[in-house]
Amino acid sequence: MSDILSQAAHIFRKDTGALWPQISILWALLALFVAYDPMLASAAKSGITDYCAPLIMVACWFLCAGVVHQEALTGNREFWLTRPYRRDSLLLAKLLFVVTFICLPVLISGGVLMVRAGVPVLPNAGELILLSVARSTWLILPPFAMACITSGFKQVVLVVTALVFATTVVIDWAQSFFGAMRPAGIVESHNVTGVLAMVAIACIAIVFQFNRRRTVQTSGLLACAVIALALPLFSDGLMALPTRILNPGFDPDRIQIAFDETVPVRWDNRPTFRTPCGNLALKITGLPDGATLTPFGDSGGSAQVRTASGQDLRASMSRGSIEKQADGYWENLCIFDLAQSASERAEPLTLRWSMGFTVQSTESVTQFPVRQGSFAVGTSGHCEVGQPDFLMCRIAPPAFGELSIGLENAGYRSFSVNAASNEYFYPAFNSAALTPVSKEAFYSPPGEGGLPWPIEDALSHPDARFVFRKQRVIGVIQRELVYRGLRFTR
Amino acid sequence: MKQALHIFLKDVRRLWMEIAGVMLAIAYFAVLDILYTVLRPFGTDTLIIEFIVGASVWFLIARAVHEESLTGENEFWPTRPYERGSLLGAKIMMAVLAVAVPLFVADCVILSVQSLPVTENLGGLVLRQLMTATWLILPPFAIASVTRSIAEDVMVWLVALTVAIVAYFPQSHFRAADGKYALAGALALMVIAASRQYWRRGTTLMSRALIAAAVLLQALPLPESTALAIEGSRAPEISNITVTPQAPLIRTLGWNSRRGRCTAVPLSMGRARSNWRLEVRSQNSTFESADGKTWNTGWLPPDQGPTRYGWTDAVIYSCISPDGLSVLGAGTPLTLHVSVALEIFAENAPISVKATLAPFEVPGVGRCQFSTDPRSQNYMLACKAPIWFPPPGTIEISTAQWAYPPISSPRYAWTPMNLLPGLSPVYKWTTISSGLAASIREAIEHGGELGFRTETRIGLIRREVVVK
Amino acid sequence: MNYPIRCTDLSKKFRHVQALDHLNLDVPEGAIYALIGANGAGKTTAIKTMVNIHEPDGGSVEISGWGGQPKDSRRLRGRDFQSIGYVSENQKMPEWMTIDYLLRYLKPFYPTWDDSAAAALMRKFGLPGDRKLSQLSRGMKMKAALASSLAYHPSLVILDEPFSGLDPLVRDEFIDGLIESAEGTTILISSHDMAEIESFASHAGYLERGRMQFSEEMASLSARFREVEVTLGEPSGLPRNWPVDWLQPQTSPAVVRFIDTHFDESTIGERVRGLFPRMTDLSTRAMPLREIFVTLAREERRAA
Repeated sequence: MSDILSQAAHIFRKDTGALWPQISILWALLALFVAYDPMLASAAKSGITDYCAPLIMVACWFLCAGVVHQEALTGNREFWLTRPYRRDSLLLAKLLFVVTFICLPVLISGGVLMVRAGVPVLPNAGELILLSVARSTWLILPPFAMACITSGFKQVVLVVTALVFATTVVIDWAQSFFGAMRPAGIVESHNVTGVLAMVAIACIAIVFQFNRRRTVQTSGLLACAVIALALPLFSDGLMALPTRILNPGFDPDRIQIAFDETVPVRWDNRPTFRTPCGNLALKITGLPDGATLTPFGDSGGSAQVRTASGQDLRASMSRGSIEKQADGYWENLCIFDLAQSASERAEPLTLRWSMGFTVQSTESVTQFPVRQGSFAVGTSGHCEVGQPDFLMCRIAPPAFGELSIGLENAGYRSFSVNAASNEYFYPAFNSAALTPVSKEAFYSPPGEGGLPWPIEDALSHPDARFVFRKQRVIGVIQRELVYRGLRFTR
Repeated sequence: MKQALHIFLKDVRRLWMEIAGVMLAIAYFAVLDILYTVLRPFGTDTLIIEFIVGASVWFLIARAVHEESLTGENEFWPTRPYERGSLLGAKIMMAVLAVAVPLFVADCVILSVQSLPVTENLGGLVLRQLMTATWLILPPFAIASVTRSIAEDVMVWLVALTVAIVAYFPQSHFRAADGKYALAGALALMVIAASRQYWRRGTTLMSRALIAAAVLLQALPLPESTALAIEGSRAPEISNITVTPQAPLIRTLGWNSRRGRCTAVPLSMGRARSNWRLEVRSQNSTFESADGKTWNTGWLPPDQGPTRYGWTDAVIYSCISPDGLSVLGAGTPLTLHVSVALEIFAENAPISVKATLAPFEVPGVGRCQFSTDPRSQNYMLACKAPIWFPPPGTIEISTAQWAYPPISSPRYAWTPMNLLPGLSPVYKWTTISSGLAASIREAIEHGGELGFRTETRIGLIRREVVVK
Repeated sequence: MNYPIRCTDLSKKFRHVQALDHLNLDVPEGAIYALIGANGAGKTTAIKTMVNIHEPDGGSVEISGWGGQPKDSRRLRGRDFQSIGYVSENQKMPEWMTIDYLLRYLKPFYPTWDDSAAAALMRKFGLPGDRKLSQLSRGMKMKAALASSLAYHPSLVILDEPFSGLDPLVRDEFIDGLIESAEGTTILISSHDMAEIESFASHAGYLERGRMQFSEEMASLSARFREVEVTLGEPSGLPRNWPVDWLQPQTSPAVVRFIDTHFDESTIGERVRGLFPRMTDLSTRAMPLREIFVTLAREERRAA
């Protein structure tokens, strides 16, 4: 064992000496990212991090590929093949390198950002580490895998360009092909099944290549890893698999969601829209106590509204507006193509809607009185009620969950917004994904269509409370809902 | 010429995959651009594919240059009878035939499919290719001429982009204006570096220094006077413009959590032509207390974009943070010194067009048509301008009886790359006219008119404003 | 006498290393000039300076360019290489090309390209035309490089360590091909292995620490160096007036050996007897090039 470690450390030191320019560039970019954090940078420079983020990703990929190529695993002219290198030491050395020069700096920069945002680090250390691991996976795994089957950076660039191109084309067309069968966006978001499968197969491929140097077979495995991302497209069971594994006590099939056709549609006349919009009651059973549902996916594309004569109308389910009110769950639907004639408005419509939901359990609920000024939100961060038209929060949300803010007892019906969540899927492409602190400012409650922000009024209600719900995703489900006999009348 | 062609054919044989990649990316961009315009006339979403086109062009150009690398001692070609001119010619041929020509063809197809005239815009298309070449082809060409491998290339690009990003976010609009000239200077340095590498193959130190200078030029604290001097010379009379704060309208707006206590100071312009308009681009505010203490904001963009009272006035917002207030003393009277960068615009003669639901041409602006936004049921005016960005301005609709409020925001939506062209030869923009759908319908039904009030940018001035 | 290559006071420094130090070298037309020296002597630097890969820091190089006109190496440009062939062990060949394509690709660069000569070289070297350079052994690559540099009948061929790593058979093939195809051509060939070149070189120059120690025709070099062995009647030490051109004297009780660097058969006996009156026998032995250079190298180091 000590031989393995000793050789690994030796190779690690050699790699550090060889790649110090690339390491310096990455660290400089991370330092820039931290220095120009939008919360603290001047307004003029607050956009720098958005441009830094993709460069950080490129620098990470460049560094990862570089370290693997130091002892390239393809070809038969490499100098190390006829030297007493242990394969396990070699792999360990490369892992040590990426952990030291990528994972740790990402973790540290996250910690620094937390400190600068005034969010306590130690209580959130676990979340920060989890997040850093998830993000580092995206920063390290793809280039590491690609470098294992290539011999130089030229080839990596070719592979990456081809991959991005193919992915863009394939995902676009696959979504349109599968769109009717699956909620749009399932591959991009909440794709736990796909991502886990991809990561697992990629790791197996990497270990295989380090041990056996069979480039063709490894390339095949990696291709399977990429295709694995599309797994949820093929089966409900696959989509729900991680839910069953990670939460064995939770059976997602028990959750039944359907439109309650016995409850009349509540007509909703929004001043900014000229289309008929209505609230449809949902019947939801089987939801665990304290759990909530949040839809995801492109609601506009998945909602199919058809007239009795077979004409398809353009419709949109307002995303995220499943509201749990005192009298149940409601979903909002707007139909844009509805003609104006009374007879057409009166004819029954059939609505089919395929939607994905995350099921979230509530870990904690904390309440704070509505007052002007700032207040700490437990150990998650702090918020500030400014001029009575906004609420500004700096919060470290849970690693795989959300923090929602609601307002109750303020004379308006309660509402809830998702204040902060982490993008742990495809996280590397934007600055939000590299920051563990969510910065949200709310100027009006969403879904209220221009009604005044109630905080000003809430300030005069002594019982008014901000309600913070920390929720964690415990499952992902997909349901197709059908409403026959939908009538929209003004 | 023969040798250049020979080398070019060898490069094509070697780099056919990269060439195919570029052409595929350009073709896909064209398809997306057309599809999005046809299917989603109110927005395009081609950012990823534009990045892919850029990346694949970079890769092709770098590989082509590295085929006969200009650095290093062990290259195959220096001891062969390569004529430098032929070598450079071959690489330029690659750039033109594998990048510029496909882009040109894609441009023509995009124009044609969108029913925009191709032959009339031919000159513009060619000029566009030249401009596109300066940002798409020249930088990778120049950087590849001083690097040995793709890996080295990537490192240089990472450093260059980092410098460009930090420099791009200007603290003052003068930096943004200077940035245009700095960019032109940087491109010129790149041309010199690349040419030097090809003509005078010796040490690459000087060429690398030129590339470094090109990269760093954007970050240099160029004096504000650079842009002012250049732009002022184009319209000398703008230097006579006076700017006066409208003292009676000064008011304290109250608390802005991000910025602190803010003050609005409307400005009016004097010694200007009647059809000229001011717009605040950035400002540097210094608050001074009676006992001489000061607090400075640094150069900032205007807080709420172009706002104005009337056609010729502008408003500057200056904010002091709680920290600043504690330094100067809250409640004490303050003097505000503001350095402000102002852009001057001249209103052009209005263009009147009959309001109709059918597509119509607006001379100098583009081809427009009203349609309905599916979400809001509002009427939106979607326009497309071939080749060049249309002049900014407002659009008004009126009938014989009524003149309605402007149906566009004070300016059309601009892309941020108003210095260099984007990848698409058709600039598409829409207006949003919330709440005026009924008015527009009425105007169309009653034979109303659309008035396009475009404006031309005259120049940039700096003025000092003092408010006690 | 024409000199296709003339180096005058050539100097080149890399950081703190003086690679060439006032090098003077003249390569006569039609000669096969062997530039010899130990590793790090400056041979490759000298050659790269001659073909304008390096720029000299001092002095100059005149080399026959286009049309056979002598030209400052700094001004050597594309067309000048139409009459120069260059093969180097370090040069990166376009590995992706097949041999056939390499020759087809190079042909338009050289107006004097001779297809039949190229074909003959391919046959002589046994080169598979359809194989990529990346798939060739080291020896085959060097032969392919040589074929591509001889097919246009250059007037000057420069070879930098072409035999490095080649087995004796390949080396012989290489030399045969070179001599056969480059008859009448001026050839400059660098090597640190004397044995492989002394059989065909007409001139030799010895480079040590960037300086030319000597440069002369092989015939005269071989003629003036002899190992001399003197048998003594009685033990004797070395006389004080030992001649400077007699190097590396070795004494034993009855024998004295030394190397005469300016051997003259007609005077050697007299000179020896003058120093060793009681000598009983005198024998001389011709020295191979390798021994001559080793002797000189030792002397140089001793002097340094």
